[in-house]
Amino acid sequence: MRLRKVAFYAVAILFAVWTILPIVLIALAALTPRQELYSWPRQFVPSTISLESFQFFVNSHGVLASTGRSVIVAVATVLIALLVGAPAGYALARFRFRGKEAFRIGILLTRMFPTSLLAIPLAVLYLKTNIYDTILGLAFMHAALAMPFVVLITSSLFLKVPYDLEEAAMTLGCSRIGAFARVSLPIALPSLVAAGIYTFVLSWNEVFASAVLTVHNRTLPAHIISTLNVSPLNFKFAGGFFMIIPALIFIFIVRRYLLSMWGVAINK
Amino acid sequence: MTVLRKASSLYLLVFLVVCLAGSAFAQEITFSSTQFVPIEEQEFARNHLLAPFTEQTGIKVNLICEDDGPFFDRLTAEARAGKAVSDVFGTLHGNVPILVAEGVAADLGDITAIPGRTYISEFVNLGQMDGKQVYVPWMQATYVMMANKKALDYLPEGADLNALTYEELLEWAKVLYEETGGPKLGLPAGPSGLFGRMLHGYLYPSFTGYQVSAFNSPEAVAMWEYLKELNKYVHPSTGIWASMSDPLLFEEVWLAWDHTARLTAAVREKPEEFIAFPAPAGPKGRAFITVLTGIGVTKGSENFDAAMELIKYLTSPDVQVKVLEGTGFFPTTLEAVDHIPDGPEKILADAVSRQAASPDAIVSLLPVGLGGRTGEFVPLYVDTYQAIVVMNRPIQETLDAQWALLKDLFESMGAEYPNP
Repeated sequence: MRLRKVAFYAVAILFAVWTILPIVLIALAALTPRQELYSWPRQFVPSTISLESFQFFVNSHGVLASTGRSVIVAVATVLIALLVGAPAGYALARFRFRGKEAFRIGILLTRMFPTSLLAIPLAVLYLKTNIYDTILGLAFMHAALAMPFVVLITSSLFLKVPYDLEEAAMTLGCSRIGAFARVSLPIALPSLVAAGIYTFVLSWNEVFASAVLTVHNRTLPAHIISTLNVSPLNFKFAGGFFMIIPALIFIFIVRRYLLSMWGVAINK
Repeated sequence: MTVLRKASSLYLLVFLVVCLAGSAFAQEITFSSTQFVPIEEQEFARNHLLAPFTEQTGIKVNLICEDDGPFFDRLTAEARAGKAVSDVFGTLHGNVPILVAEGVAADLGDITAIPGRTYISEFVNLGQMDGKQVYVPWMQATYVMMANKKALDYLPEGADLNALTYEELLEWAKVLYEETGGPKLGLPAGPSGLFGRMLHGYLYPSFTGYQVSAFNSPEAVAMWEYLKELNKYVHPSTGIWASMSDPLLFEEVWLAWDHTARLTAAVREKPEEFIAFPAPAGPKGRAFITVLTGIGVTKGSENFDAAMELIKYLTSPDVQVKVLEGTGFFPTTLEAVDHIPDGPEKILADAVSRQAASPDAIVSLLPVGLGGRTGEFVPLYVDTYQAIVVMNRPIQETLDAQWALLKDLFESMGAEYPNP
């Protein structure tokens, strides 16, 4: 029994180190003075903490603006994806209709083609409809990319909400929509939030569509890839570290919901 | 629900503010570039080149720097949609035929009439495609060798650093390997490295006299045998390196070949530790590439005159000298060539001018006329290197097979072989 416990903790620690070590390394490298980063042999822990590379990166053109834009695009993406995707998921879970299975598979179509293949036609379409280089346009694109996941996740969520409850509500005087809004929705809310988080992260990380569909209104990943791809190492570390901070904070806040997506309950 | 309402109204507010902020300047042009991509160069271009331009002319410039992929995709889409969001494009000479094929580039007219700027005439000719002047020569660069000064102690006897031969380079790398206990020669042969340029523009013409036409000749076989021998003393991480500045600074290698712009970070960081020198010479001479970047105006741009103002400004002598200091790119006008400054850049500038002035010089030009298939040229050489040197396939057979592909590439596009 003790041996099992030891093995369990050993594996747990291994996973923790696996996850945390790269973050620690990138944080240390981002805060290492540039000179020291290039000296040999390299110190694991820098002799002094230097914010120089980090500051240069953060203050360089467009970083803060693109960070703000990334947040706005991600929030807009979540709103659009949930507004369109959740009803579709509900329909898949509740109703029987002709072509349901085809629809379920068909929804994956948007993920079938690599974005790089669609880049030029998409950009042409965006230019012609005047949504090129707009935050809303990019949010549409991200919502389209997230849609299959949102529909499939929400449909499995609504399947878990017993239909009996809705029926009970309706016998007590609720309309169909009222039953959905007052009964199903509150039960499904934590899981909907989880689907939202997934969408948020997808939009936060998405780089290809952002790079092609925007010119002046770059999101953070698109901005980072265009500025740091061939930049010296110290800036890459600074940019990488800058990119993970918001993600870390975000995950820390919402991890409770994230677990509920896989049906694991944890105590508050 | 109130939280949601607040969040959505806040979002709308921010959205409006961002939209309004974007349209504040009177005249604004957008400059899409595949140059100035590293973050420090971008900051340099914005603060030291474009900010003074805006002050002088009142024209605001939005600089968009990106990789080839998004750059082509966006400009192509803009041309097809008939809406030029970008006004000015700046890219490598070799990329321009793709833009011309997609109808992106406008005719700039007679650029030799621009006063105070004598563009190097060979470059002006290169910028003429489909009977139009599609770009103005903007900046040039080349590839040289760089060594940590510690390596000079191991230089083979009788070898002159400024007139090195490939045989001496091999000897040098071998001595370094044996005396220091590890390989000290590095090449940028990673996925985004420029090693392919060394194969077609440096090694091939130096050994065979031609970039393309002697691809599978006996001289080429001798060259590949040389490369296999040299590879014994090449650092094993060579296959992942994109730029040699970092490996030189880390002292993973003491000896490297790369693009001047990709060596600048090393000399800037430790100017006293490094020395740059011309590429080695082979049996046929000392071949090297001159890389040319051009700057042009997009077809359908509503700001043609403002765009031309920017182009004239960027090719004025004092700005070209500033560009050299800031990015390591060399001037393209005769007026500016005379004013090369002192400083870490001088280390590279010296090597570049010695290389250009060497008596056995062979100038390799990048292939023109491959159109949309331009991007297939270099990979043919890199694949050959992979097959022969990395996978150890038989030389003659591999060369014959690759030669068929190479010949087909030029024949199907109706292009002439690049000089030499």
